[in-house]
Amino acid sequence: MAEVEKTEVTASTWTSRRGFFTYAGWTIFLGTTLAFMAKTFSFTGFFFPKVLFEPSKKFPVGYPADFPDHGVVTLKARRVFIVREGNNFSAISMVCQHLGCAVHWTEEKGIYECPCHGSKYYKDGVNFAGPAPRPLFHFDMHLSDDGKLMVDTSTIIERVTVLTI
Amino acid sequence: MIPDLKKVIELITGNEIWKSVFRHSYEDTPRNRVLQIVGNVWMHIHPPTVRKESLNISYTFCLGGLTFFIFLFETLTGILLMFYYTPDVNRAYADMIDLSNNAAPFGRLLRNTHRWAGHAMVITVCFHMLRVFLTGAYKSPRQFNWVVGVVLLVLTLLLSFTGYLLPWDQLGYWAITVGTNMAGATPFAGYQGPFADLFGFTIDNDIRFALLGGTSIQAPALLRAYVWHCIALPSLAGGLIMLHFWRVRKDGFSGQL
Amino acid sequence: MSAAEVITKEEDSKTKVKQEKVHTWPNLVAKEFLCGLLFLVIIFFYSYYVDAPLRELANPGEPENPAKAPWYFLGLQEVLVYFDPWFAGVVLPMFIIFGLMLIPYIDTNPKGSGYYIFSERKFAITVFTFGFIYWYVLIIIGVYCRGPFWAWFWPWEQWTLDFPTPPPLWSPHWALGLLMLLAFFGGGMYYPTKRWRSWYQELGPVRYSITMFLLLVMIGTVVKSVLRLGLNMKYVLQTPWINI
Repeated sequence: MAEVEKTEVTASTWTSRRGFFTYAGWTIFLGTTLAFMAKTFSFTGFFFPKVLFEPSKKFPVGYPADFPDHGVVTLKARRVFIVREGNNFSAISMVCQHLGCAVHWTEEKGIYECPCHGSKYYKDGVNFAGPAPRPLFHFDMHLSDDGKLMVDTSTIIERVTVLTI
Repeated sequence: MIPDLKKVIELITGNEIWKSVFRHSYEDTPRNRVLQIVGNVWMHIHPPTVRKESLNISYTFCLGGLTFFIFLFETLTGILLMFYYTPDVNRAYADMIDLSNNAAPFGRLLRNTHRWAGHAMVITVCFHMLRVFLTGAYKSPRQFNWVVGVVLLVLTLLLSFTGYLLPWDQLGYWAITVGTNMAGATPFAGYQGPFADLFGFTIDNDIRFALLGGTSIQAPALLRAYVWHCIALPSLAGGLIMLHFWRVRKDGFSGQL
Repeated sequence: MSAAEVITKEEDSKTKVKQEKVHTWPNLVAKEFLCGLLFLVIIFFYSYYVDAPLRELANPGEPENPAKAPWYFLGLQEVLVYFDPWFAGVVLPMFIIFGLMLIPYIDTNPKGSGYYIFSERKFAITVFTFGFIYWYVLIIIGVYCRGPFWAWFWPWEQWTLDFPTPPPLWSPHWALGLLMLLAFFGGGMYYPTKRWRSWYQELGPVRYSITMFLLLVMIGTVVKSVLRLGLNMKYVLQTPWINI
């Protein structure tokens, strides 16, 4: 009986042969499992695709003359508003900065409104009421070689910047 | 000539094949009543005897059992719906319309029952939780089972959420928009959340990106919702339901039922 | 049921009550079966007459107005109106989920286990029922009181698009906001230790802190909603990093 107890005690110390292999075995098993789990579930792991097939972030929206002199044109397919003030153009994102719904330009009130949680923005995209935490994005604009307005949604610019033609 | 009924029954139930399938006879004897519970894989989540008071409906209102029943019902109708649904942004909505127009037999009824039973499950889960709270049934030694129950409540809501995305209608599209943007607002780990810069999270490597499988809502987002809804979440919920029931039996019924 | 079906077990040593036991099969199983059947009958009748919702095909350029989630998420959608997404969408749900999980570990009152009773656990039942009802009040607001662009309409009012534009929201200076938050949470944590001293000592500092913190978050959510609706306050605390 005493002998059995003695072996049990030695087995739990890592210097004994059995103890060493017990610890080493668990370390290798848990280490390998953890490494695979980390690669699978962590950031840049299994759930993060390496190749994306997504719409182009640069697109033409039409000739400058097509836009009314002082107005906001809603381009639903591209999810941008083209705001024209005389010769100044700006492209404002339709995506609400609260939780990403498409905001609506209400002409009579001169504001953008969100139908999901009621965020309100002024004509220049600055939020003033509702839960929106920041102003709507302004996208970079330039003229293409054939004279069309181009919007680049990958570049977000300062609110005061406009494209003057 | 009328055959002797007893002999026919004896012929059916007395042979080796029958006896190999059914472990005991079905005569209404106390022994068989117990065997019917302990000797049956589907029934043995019950104890063989219960206190007389537990037959009163007003203690549990059958809410937990009903939730489990609805879960099984949703699994069955869900599997049937999978035969007629394609998780593709160009086809999902048309498949829904087809089902509503009974392009498959009972398609409309199938879709309606699956959807409404999902709503019913949220109700029964909520009120099951309220019942367990009001009767103090989570108290020692049943604390851990309450924790499992809370996880199951969350899974029920996630199943509902991923489920109503699948028709790819206005409700689903904007729900996936709002839901994944909420994940994108997670502090530290979402690209729009506070302290996102600290660990360098941007739109193409944060939690939202993992949920959508992209930076915007495209085909991968629908496929992911579909796999979560049909495979991952039900498996998880099923496993936890087993644990939940097992703990109910091991910890004993509250109220000495 | 006949007396013959009842099996009388030996006396329960604790309660000294004679426990009458019955066979689960068929007594309980039959009731469960009927319960399931009743559910099936109801769900099939309902589904036969009422079609499940199916809106228009998804249109990335224009949500429905208002875009309402199914009823069980409208409480969350309503909370999202009053707080930034990181709080209302992530942190608060985490508080709710982990708070719910912690309930059995912070409620050490051994009484009231296994039967409906209010008098033996007034605090626990009041708080939980309040939270439960609060969630459903938010759902009811979301379902019946929200119209186009998430503007407030009473259920008896006609939805219209020419409601007045709300005034711009404002936030107090960050120092004042920090003071208000500290006063709310500090005072809320401190006062009960004096007012209900024995209750505090019974719980111990750890359980007490968790309980009171979760309770104060719940009350704080209500207070913030009132501040937004009544005083147009955007944030209580506004900093460059986080806003509450």
